[in-house]
Amino acid sequence: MITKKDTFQLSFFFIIMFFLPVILNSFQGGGYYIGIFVPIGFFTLTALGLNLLIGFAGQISLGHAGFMTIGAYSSVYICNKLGYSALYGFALSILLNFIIGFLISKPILKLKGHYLAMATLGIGLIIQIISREFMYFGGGEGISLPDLKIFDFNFNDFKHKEFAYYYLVWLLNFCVLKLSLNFINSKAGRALKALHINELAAQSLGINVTAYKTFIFVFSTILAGISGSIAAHYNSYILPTTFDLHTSIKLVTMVILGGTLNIWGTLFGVFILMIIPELLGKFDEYEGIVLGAVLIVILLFLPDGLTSIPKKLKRLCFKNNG
Amino acid sequence: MNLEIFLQYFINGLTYGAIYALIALGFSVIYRTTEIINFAQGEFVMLGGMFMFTFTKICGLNLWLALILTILTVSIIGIIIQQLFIRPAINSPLVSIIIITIGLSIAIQTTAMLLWGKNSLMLDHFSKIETIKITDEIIIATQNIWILAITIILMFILHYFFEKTMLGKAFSACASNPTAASLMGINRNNMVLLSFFISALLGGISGAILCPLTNVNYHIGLSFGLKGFCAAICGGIGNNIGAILGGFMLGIVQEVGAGVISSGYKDAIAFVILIIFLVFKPSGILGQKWTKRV
Repeated sequence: MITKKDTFQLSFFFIIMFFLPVILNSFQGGGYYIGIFVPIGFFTLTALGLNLLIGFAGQISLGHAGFMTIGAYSSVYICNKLGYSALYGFALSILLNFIIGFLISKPILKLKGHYLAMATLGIGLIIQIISREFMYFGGGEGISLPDLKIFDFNFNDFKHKEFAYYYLVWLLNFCVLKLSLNFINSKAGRALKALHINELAAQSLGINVTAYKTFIFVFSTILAGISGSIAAHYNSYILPTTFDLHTSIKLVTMVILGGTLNIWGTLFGVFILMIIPELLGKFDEYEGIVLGAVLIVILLFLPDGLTSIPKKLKRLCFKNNG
Repeated sequence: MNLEIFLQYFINGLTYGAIYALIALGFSVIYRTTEIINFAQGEFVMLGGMFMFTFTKICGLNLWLALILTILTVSIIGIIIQQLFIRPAINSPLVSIIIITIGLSIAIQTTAMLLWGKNSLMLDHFSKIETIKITDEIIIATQNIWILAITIILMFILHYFFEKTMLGKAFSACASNPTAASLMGINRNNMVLLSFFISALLGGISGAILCPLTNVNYHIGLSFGLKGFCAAICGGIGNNIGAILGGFMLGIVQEVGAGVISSGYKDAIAFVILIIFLVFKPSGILGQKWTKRV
């Protein structure tokens, strides 16, 4: 069951995100600000899945950008090559990621720690190499996508492009958040928490460890796929390097920054890492240093992420008093 | 593919194999003392190439002096990394340490990009005569011979160090049983420091001797790191002879495979081998049966 606190937070979140564009739009150049929240939105979508995988299933993946690439190229195949509606593109993206995610999860999730990190990294790179070498999709030059049209509604129409995408991704995010919170507070979620603390003990209590891990892994790959499809439509263009290893590392950084055991933390993490470049302007060059520094500092000093700061402060005050 | 073309690929494979073997040894040395896989291992190779470029082309130093300076600089960077970032985290969960080394890796990469720029840098071959023509099909770069020779010498030195010197024996003792070793008065922290030193040194040398063949670029580190790791896994991680065997095997399979399929898939071949080994034989060719040590 979803707790009262969660319901409250969720409704609060819904109201804020629903009215944010309206407020932003009242400022000069509001469309630009709304536009910032679209990439934040689709990275959140992938990061939420990854958060479940890292925080709750205790696994790591350095290959999720690869699944985003699969999603993006599924949309390219359906919309550009076959000329069908974008909805079929999303369907193919989900289906492909489901199949690929399921097939590789079996052997891969048996691995632990470094081995899993390296294997997922390898998978991400293999997907990237294939998308680069496969000339049918334009190879290294990339390929363009037609506008995202769902039932005659054109998302890419310049009059409302940011608005349309904003509500699309954040509505999806809202659903995924609701699902994740439900999931965490369900029997399965509690089982996963047990699994995180002690896998062997969880197994001996009759928890089907492999099934849960597989489920979360596949779920996260599907989310990555949808997010890749939306991102490709939003940018109208996709390159094999649009979602590369750097993106995968960025996603992991977002999750770690927010705190792995906190779903709301992920929203923070994504927001902070995406808003810094906007504030700093010319940032691309330094991004690697910032990501690296964030990872190292957080893991050395705040292993539970930013959202653990209030708790830590409280503990400090308590210690001082008593 | 006729025999001569095959031989050509084979010789290239041996050369790359030697480099992968050195990187794999670097992984293995750190793994033995700490059980950490250092994702920044490949960056040492990149730094090796970059400093070699700086010392020979910009400072105009003599080749061998430049090589020694390069090795020293990269080893010192290895030590600094260990002292600043790994040591404080040594008791954190393994996954945290992995992510710290990933953070280090992209931070080093970006710093290198800012310092040396985005373009590939060319280095001079060690010898004036760059290639030797054996038959019409087989042409050997003299750099290949340098690489193989230096690698083999290095392996003998390492072997001597681990088997015959007191420090090397202390290192092996610490690797096989840290508690017993520390009871014998061996300081584990110093051994971890030593392992980062050796590993950075190996990376630095491999970058310095390889980059005349391939040119050096700020992002070559990742791919070399992954292939070195693949070699270490193929041979059995933590096993020095396995690392060398794995390195040569991977180099040859990759070059010959690229010749048969397409050179664009060269990297993919190594990663596929890596995943196959991880899934079906994580203990490698020479490793003991895989046991999880906590």
